[in-house]
Amino acid sequence: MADLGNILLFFLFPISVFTALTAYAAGVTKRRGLLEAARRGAYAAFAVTTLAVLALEYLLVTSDFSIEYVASNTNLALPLFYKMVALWAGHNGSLLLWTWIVTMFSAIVAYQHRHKNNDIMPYVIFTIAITMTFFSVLSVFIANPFETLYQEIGNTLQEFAVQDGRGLNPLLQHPAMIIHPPILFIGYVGSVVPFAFAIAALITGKLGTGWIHTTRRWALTTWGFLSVGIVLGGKWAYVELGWGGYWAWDPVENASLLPWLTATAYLHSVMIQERKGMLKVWNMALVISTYLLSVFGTFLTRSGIVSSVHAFANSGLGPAFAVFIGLSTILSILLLLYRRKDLKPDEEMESLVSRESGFLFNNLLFLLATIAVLWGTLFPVISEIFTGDQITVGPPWFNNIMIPIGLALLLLTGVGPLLAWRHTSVETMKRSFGYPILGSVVLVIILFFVGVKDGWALGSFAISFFVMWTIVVEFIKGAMVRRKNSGENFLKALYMLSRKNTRRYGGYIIHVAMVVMFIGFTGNAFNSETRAEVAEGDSFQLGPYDFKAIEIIHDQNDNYSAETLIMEMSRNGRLISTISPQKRYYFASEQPSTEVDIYTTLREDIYAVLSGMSNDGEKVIVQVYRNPFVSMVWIGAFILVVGTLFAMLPNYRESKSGGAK
Amino acid sequence: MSYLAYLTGVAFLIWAIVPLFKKDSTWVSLYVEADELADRKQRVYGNIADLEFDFAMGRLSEKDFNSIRASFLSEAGRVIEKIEGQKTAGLMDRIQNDLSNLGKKTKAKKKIKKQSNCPSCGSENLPEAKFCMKCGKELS
Repeated sequence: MADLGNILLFFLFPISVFTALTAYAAGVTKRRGLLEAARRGAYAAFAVTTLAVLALEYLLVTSDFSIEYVASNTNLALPLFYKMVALWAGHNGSLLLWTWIVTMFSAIVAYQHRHKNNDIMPYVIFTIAITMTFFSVLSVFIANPFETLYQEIGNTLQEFAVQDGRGLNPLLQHPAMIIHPPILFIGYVGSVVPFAFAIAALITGKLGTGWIHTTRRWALTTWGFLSVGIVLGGKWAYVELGWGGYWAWDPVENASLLPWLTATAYLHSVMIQERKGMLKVWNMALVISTYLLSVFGTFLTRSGIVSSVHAFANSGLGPAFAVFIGLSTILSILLLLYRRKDLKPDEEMESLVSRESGFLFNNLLFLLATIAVLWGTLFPVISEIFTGDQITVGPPWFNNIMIPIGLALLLLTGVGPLLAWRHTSVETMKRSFGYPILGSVVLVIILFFVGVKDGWALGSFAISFFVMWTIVVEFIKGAMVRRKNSGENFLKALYMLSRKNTRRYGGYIIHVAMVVMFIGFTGNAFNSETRAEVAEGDSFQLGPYDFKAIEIIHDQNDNYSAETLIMEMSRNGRLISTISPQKRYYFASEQPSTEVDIYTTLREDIYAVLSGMSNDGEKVIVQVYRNPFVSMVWIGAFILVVGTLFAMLPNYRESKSGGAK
Repeated sequence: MSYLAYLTGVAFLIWAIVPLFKKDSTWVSLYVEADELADRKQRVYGNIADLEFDFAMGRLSEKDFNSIRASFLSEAGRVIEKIEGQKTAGLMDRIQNDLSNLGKKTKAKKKIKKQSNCPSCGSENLPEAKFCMKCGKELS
């Protein structure tokens, strides 16, 4: 089966090259036969990669330990489910998954456009096929998941199989981990589609909004997957890593945030191009950066470049990625320069107080955020080059920069939609912003006297309130205007209003999601924690909560041994819940892992971690965190999904002859 | 087992190569300028729709609304004239009509005109073409 997978995967390489060549030739000659061949190439690439993925799954599930990848990432006692998802637990498997998704998207795009867009499709397929070729080289020649284990016997190398594998990294044995990587990967890889259309537009000179319209759904879907992938990563870190938080500005987290920042900027700036014919180069640059940052993110996640430059240089993946990203960047820039005359704006900015300038500020802030995160993430690498030491910038550095930028963006979320295109008069501004500002000020005063003294937190709550107000008013006012014109009742009017412009109102729903998530982020300002060494019967306090250790249980199964502390949690003498954190020790991988227990309410999370045994072995060490508003982050993410799906609905079209009039 | 894999791979490659040997034809590119004009028309219409929405939501004064709207309308007129290559009568009425039907269902779904293939040489031509762009024969 390993041979089968390996050979099929190998075929991806010639097929990708064939697809790229025929696609390019089709673009130049406009011959239908060539384009058809390229299209079939895309389908064939997907087919062979799918078969290779199935072969690897078979090897994983049947525990064929003669395969290095299977032996390194699974063991016999691992539950079947985790054996299956081990496909993306390691380096080589994840690359295969990436490759597989690229081929899948390429096949989908080729199929979607089989009867249309003949002019640009050859170059679209060409661009994706080049990406496919690159990943096939990685998967086949550099990081092949079908590699067998060898040992030296005398002077010859011989294949052999181990008795049992090393097992799946315990940190990955969590439900969120099952969906987090594929979802994030779909987000990453999806960026290749708008990128390919942008490149095709640059090559053919068809630089109107055609390519933007064609890729609108792709861009939005990709963005949605990226957002959900990032939040799921946070959720996983929160419940699995056991340090009490969900975001630490870790290089790997930043890697996923970077393309998200540019993609979000793009979703906004694209509207200026559609309305004013401006920012054409900028939009191209954003789409290209999103793609490059996605590839960069994969590279960062899988290479370990930031933790150690040298480890990555040895793996062979690093240089390949560096060359690919470098070449893609240079070629994209050259193409942009080549078309710079055709990308001139059709109109100029007329007023500083207008919707378009709002979008412009929004983009400036996203750009700043991207540069800051990129700089902070790469700082260890840069410092190592110049000083020989890796100097890491910690979360405080990121927070100092990103909190103001984040709040400014949040503020724009409230202000932007209220500005008219071209020009907004002072009079209308007063009317739109008067009450919400007044409301926010009142809220700040109340919160201050209630005891909220943190400046950033006050600012964040005030802005959140302001934005929420403006969005709700947008919906209500819009519905009332419609009701007046159509005679529908309020709810019907509200529904029709949003269905007739799903992008606008889906966008507002996503803005609500952001407000909710920001309230969650702001909760961090009020976190508190305590640490205690307890034996059975001991108790301790955190804020208004009392904890009493009831029992310490030791047990084990085939996979791991575990210690569990069972505590009773009460408030004002009233029992609320039991909370039982656990510490596990996995036999196969010889690694410990913490299983936190979290008591969640809308208002706060009580988060308990069993850190280990005390030195004398009599007591256990338990760490308890009190994290306000964390659930808001997950609720916000859910609203974000709803908003994204809504924005993807086609606009409702009323019938010409009256209908809802 | 590995023979099977080789066979599958080769089969896929051959399947992809086959169209290269079929009787071939080319397609005709749509003009970049026509593309741009259609784009501009769509933009102006979108702008007017947004402007009307903004005005209804009370985001701009009546004076601003009227002057901006007038400039959009004349831009729409210019674009349409350019698309059609001539001065057209009743232009403003047509634009008003287009605008009031914006975002509404068109009764009969527009038939997607297929590009027509030349009966003698097989080349693809634009739907409105009367003669083949490649060999000059009349298209039926």
